[in-house]
Amino acid sequence: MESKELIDQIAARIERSSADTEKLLEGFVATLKERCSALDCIAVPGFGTFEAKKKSERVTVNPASGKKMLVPPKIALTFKASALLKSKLR
Amino acid sequence: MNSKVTFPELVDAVAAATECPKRVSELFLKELFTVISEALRNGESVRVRGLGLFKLTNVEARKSVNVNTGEEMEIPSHRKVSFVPEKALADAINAPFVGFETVVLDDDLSEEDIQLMASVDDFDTEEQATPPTFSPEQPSQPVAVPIVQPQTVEQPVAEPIVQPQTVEQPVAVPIVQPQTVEQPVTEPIVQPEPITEKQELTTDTEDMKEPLKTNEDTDVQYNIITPETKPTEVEDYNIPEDDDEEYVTERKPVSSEKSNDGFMRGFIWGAVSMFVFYLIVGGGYFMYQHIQNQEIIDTARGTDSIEVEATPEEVNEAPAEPAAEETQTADAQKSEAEAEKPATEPEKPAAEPKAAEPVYDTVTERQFLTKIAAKHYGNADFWVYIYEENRSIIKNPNTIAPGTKVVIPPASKYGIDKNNPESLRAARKKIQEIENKK
Repeated sequence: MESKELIDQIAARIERSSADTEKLLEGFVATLKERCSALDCIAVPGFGTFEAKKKSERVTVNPASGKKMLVPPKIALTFKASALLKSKLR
Repeated sequence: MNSKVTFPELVDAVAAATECPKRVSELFLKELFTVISEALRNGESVRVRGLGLFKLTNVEARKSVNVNTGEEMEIPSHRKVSFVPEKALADAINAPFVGFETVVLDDDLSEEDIQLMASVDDFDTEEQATPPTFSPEQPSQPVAVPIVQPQTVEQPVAEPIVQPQTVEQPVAVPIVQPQTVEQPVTEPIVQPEPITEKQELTTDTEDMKEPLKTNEDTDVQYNIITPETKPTEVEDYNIPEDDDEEYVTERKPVSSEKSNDGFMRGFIWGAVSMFVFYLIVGGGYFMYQHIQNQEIIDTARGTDSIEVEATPEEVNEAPAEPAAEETQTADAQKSEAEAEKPATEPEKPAAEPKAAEPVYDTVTERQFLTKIAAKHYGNADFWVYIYEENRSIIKNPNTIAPGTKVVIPPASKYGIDKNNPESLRAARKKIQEIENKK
């Protein structure tokens, strides 16, 4: 399902225009970005949690060349499905 | 920081961001997630603009064990959601580290370098991190240790090889003590004979050393010397002997050390530490013996009017000699013998110019009455006259404490003449007399 399709569906359900829904979605994404940048985690009941996790720098070895590489640290946005969502998918 | 944003909080935040009523925001969020989960349940992947892609992946059935009961069980095949954030979002969240790129490291980069780099990285991230609440240091610290581990693995391998060496060095120092003290004890046995024979003896010992030398260093040579030097005193016997035994057991594992067996390493450690212990005990005992000798000599000298002035000098020299000896142990034996000469030579010019006054010389570990006699009279046999002159301080010509200062009588006093066979014969006769007296 593509984004446009999703927005249309949601718009129909909440009885609002697609533009409004899109604005709301943008607002949600902005909020998520803001909170996750602060390493907060956002828990959505029945769906899952969005969490930004810091991954430490690490040394890897390129198996082809045998060169050691220092991979820099990063903060990755992760999503962990809730138990309810998992059971629904089973 | 790291706080959990609950759904009502999220609703409030979204409402504030979009300037919509909370009711609308709440409804929207609920519908958003229901639509997504429904789509996922239908087996559809969902792409949300600005957020990312929720996609389904199949997990194949696999076997596992129940952690509690240990029973085998099969995890059935299922689907799971994986979320891939959109590039823009991921970059925005990763903002503090956007500047970093993967660096190719040098192969011979040491562990410290990496640790240094790690600490620098931590420092940088702290500086760059825009939110003040951000703390990358805490998670990174424990992780930094495993990173280094692949390199530290080499270290334990290298260390045991280094350790025996470091142990041996302190070993070399105490070894000198028994040797320095004991040599004068054994030497007088050789004394009555001419110097040439003594040299033969030393070469003999060197021959003995050579087959045993193998790959060991200086330390080994001293070990072999110790059995040679043990004599006379019965109590001393045990200590060098033990050293020797210890040494034999120690040597084998050292040579096979390259197999790098953990047990062997422990064994070597034990042997080496025992060896060191014995040496320290032995060294301590000999030092004690030496000090006692010194005291006897000093008291004897106290009565001797000629020698009174020599005592302060002698006291100074006694500690100086072992110190010089210690530095030389680091060198090979031959170089040591060479180094000994310059050490003794400065005394000669000091002693000889004042011919009118009594001439002094010092008995050291390597210079006995015979050597002194050879130096001053040209023949080692004349040592008896030096002994004769110093009866007051030398109780037994076979046991003279190193550092003892002796008066060298003028050659004319006893009619010493190295070119006169008569004089030599007289000296030998005297030696015989002393031998017989004992």
